[in-house]
Amino acid sequence: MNFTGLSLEQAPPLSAPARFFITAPIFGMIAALLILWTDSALLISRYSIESIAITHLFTIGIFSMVMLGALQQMLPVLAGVSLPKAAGVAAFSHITLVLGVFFMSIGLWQNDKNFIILAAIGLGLGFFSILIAIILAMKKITFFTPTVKAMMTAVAFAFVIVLIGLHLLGAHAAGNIGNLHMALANTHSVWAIFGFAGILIIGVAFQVLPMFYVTPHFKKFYNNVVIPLIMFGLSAWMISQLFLPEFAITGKFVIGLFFLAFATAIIKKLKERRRPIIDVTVWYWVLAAVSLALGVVLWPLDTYLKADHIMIVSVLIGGGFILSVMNGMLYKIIPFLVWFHLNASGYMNIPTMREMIHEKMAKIQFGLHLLSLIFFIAFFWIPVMIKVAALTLFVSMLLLEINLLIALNYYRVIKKRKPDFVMEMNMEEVK
Amino acid sequence: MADIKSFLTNDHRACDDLFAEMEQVASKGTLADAKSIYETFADATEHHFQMEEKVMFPEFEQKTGMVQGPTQMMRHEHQQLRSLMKQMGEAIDNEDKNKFFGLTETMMIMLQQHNMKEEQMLYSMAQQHLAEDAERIIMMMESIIVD
Repeated sequence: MNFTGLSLEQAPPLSAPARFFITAPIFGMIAALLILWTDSALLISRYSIESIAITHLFTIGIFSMVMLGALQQMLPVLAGVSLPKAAGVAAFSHITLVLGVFFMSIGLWQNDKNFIILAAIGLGLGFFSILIAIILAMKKITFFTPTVKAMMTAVAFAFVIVLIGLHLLGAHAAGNIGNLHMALANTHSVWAIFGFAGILIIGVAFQVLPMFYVTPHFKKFYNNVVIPLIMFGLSAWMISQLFLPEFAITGKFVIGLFFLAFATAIIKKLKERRRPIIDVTVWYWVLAAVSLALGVVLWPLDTYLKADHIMIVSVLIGGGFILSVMNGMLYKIIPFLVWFHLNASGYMNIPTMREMIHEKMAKIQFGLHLLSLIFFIAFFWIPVMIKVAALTLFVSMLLLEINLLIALNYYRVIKKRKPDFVMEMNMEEVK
Repeated sequence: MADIKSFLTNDHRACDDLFAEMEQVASKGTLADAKSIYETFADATEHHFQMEEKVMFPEFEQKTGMVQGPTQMMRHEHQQLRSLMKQMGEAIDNEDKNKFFGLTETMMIMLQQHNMKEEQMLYSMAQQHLAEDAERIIMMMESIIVD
């Protein structure tokens, strides 16, 4: 076996993932403001231009930002490889993505062709620069765990959905909405949510639930089988919705069934966890699992219900599941990275993770997040609730940003001090 | 057949068990109650580090010629973990629960990501390069005297 490509490299610089992480809540705030200022009648339809623009502030501005930041951080730890030119790629991808999302919102909102083309360029450069760097890093992997395989699958889905997304934007700019447009748009959204975000979260959960909460590990069978079956479901669903639309619901049931299994596994594992501590991140995981379970049960039924109910499914899966997992994990990842980078450069006297993120502030933020979800769902019966929901979301995202910045600020402040000692000297003493 | 990978992986799990027990005891009573289980955990972890640093890493480095590679990084992380354990001991002496659980939080993640790198990469490499000497290496690891 060849080990030349293998190295246990140190994590990327803190700035590489952090710039992605701290951008996410800002897009959450922008999305909340747009919801507040938009006529709510336009938001009830998933196909309105306003809905599409706002959806992408969430999916690119928040979800993709967090996932791309996390992938950079996880690849060295979980797979032993790191991105080529990590800091440069991160900076380039981040800025082009940010501009791309802005241009996309402006272009769609104003129906301005030039902005839509600029958006396609920005998003294309932003996604592909980092995805290609990730794929190049993945080519060096020599040990394949279920998590690593899940990460590779998710990245493959990401690649395809970005291609489809760029095609859809191009069609918008050209005013050329063909027969296939809706089918492609459906594939784009379902693959993005379940293929990219869903599979990545499942794969990461295999590792982080045992790691953060000392839960029992997932069973081998589960690790090896769930993701291929979800991939099968996603492919079957896509083919059937193109050629045999009446069977598409079967694909939805298959996908839904395995995500439901995952949701119950989260609850079961957390119940069996051996760490006695309950913190806000446990609440976030529970909320995520419950929302996911409700969401995937409702999703196949939308064929039989009013079409607008799909928006409830999006709130449950997008806000209740994906956003909750990410929000909770940011509360672990950021303070840990701050500690890790400071400690690795010789600082000993560092606040603990609990001192960096104040539990009380995090709990208030969780409460706001939960309320905003409830308000968004209530909107389907009580139209005025959308305004309350948007305001609550805004405050929740603002508080999340403040909490994360407080933690990151410790890095900036402590880094100005002289290190307590140089690690290398101490290494000599050990020998 | 003796297997370096499972020998050291099992030792990780034993340390994890002690860690979980320490947190359990500390969360139920005072930190003073957890002092003895903390000491057992810290000793077992130090023993594990030294099995690697005194026996396995040098064998690995000699065989592969990779002196500045993964083993060096693992030594570095051992130092980070040692500093956390020392601070946990101080938090126990000061009966500072918030500090203690803040440290165990950090320790848990640091330890688990360290274990993951070892179990999923370094130990697999070690087992492949050192397979024929595995029995001797395990015996040497079992018989070290901890400084």
